[in-house]
Amino acid sequence: MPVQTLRVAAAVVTIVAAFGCSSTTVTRVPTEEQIDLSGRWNDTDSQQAAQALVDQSTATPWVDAHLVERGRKPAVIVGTVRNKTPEHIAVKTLVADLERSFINSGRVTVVASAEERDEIRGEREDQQRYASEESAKAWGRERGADYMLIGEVNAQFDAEDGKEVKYYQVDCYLVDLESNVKVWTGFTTIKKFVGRSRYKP
Amino acid sequence: MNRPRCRRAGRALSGTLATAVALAAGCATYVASNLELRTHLSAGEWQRALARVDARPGGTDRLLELLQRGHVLHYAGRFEESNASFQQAEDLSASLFTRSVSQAAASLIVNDTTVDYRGKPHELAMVPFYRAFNYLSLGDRDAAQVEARKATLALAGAVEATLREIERPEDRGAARKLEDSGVLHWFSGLLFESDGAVNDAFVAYRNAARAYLANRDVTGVPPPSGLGRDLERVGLAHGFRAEVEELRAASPELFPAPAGPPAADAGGEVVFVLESGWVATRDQVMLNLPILDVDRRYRSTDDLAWALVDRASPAWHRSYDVEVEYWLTVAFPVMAPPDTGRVSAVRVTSEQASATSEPADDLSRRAAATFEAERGQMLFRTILRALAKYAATRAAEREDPTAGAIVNLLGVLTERADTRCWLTLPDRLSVARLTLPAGRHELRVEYLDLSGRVLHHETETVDVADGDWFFLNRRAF
Repeated sequence: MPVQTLRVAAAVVTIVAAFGCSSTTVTRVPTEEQIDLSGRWNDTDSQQAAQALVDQSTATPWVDAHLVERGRKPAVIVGTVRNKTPEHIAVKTLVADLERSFINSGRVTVVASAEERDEIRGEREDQQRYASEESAKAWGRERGADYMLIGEVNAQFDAEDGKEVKYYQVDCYLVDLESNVKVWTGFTTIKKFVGRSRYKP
Repeated sequence: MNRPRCRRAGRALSGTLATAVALAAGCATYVASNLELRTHLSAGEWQRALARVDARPGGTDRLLELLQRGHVLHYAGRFEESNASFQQAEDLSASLFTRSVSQAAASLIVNDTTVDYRGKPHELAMVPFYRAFNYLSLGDRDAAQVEARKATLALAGAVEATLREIERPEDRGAARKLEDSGVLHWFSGLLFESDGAVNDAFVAYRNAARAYLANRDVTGVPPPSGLGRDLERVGLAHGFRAEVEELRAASPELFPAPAGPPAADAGGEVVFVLESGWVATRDQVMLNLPILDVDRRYRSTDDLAWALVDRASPAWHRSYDVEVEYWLTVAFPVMAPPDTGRVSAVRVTSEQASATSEPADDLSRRAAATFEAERGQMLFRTILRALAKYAATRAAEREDPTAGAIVNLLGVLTERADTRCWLTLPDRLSVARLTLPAGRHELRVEYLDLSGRVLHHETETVDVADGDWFFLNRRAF
């Protein structure tokens, strides 16, 4: 029997058995670098949306109006941002990004969330028992928020033949905690095109 | 032949045979080699079931491994791990849109199991269903809402992927019927309503009604009476009276007359989903297809292969004036009947109310419909492969009879039908609904056979608050 024939047969079988082999590589990248893999909502979207909303918010007259009326920077608490998309979005990251952007703007004061306050109050209570009198922090001196920021993320997806358009809209409202008046509303949108190649080797 | 050349030939021959034997080692079909999984699940042996899933990791069955792992973990009550596995499955499924050319080439000389399993529409659509229950069990209602919004998108995406595989218009038409699922819309609507999103809930209920009516010939399941009540309740209370009346006029069967006293206005809603039996699987059969003396007229192998697809139909008859030149034997999948299990329905009873489940979906019939839509294309691929193997054998024989025998042996050993499927899915889904007054309730859950006899029962405790919703899913294996 020709050796060539057998070699070809063996080679075909070996190729068939070998495909699918893969390896893993890990590379450290700067955290600010934009990396999109699946096309889902990610850290870059969260940061961009938060920055855009806070820029819009602090550029509108409600901050100055508050300063004139009450003589101090407005205190804002970031409330709930509801995810109404068909994708799991880490809304806590978005809330943290909103808080960070507000603080960095220097135009408003951000107070702790309800969840954080519980922990802080626990610590303050602990201080009343175990800390020295001069270092223990007093009750009843918390800064109450003037406004609460609430919002929601909505999305529309359209897909066909491996191509997908993803449209996200983040709507936020700033509500006066005393009067329930909405002093500011804003939104930001993110649109993505996700293309998948039809073939790979 | 000189001696070194003879030794080289011998080594090559033994290597090829060894590889052939190795390839043939897993010759049992996917279903045959994994049925043990069902035995473990039936016995509640979650750890052994997981070990079975993990026993054959990776490869082209990776998606099935992740789906079945997520499913077993769901029943084991390990909801976070289940979600992690299902998430991986969803990510993998999305990435499998890109096809591997090398796998496709291999499938033409080995068999279809050399190609990554991409999941069937009725399988991928169940991922959000189980993930929603996982999140509800974890107390994360917002995440369950995300799954509700995802559910119908997942089904449409999976059908789109199936359509890409199908060439013939009649088969594509059959696949398009699978694009909608009444139970997924209904379930999404219930989740939306539980979150106060009544507008979304009404749209979902209306879509559910349309899907049930349109898919009745696929699933054999009529619109559940509970859906009609949901449509009426939400529609009339929230400004959709005209839409409800329009539906009632077009499809009166959606709104059956109330069977009992009207449910209390206040109180909470219990939604009990029963999963029963085992989804129908695929078996392997050997088909003998005649190659006729007149087949030389076909200008391409593709044309001949499509002609052979038609010959695989039981209705095909050979005319008297043609001769069979060769019988082509191929391994091909067929749908096996579902294992319906003993439990047919569930009766949920509290001190105040009682409800018996009604059919909501038939996954086995969806699996069969998917198979029917894919059948022609699968058979075409299988025949192309068999023709290639036949041609390779003939070519090798012409060079050397032994080489021909080896190529033929390789062809036979590697021929295997692709029977891969999500084995642990249930055969059917049914839903029982109860409206209960606020307070703690002991629910007696009776599992019934076809004649209504109680096979076994258990007790569930629910704490109901006004306007609250409870979602429970239980599996009768």
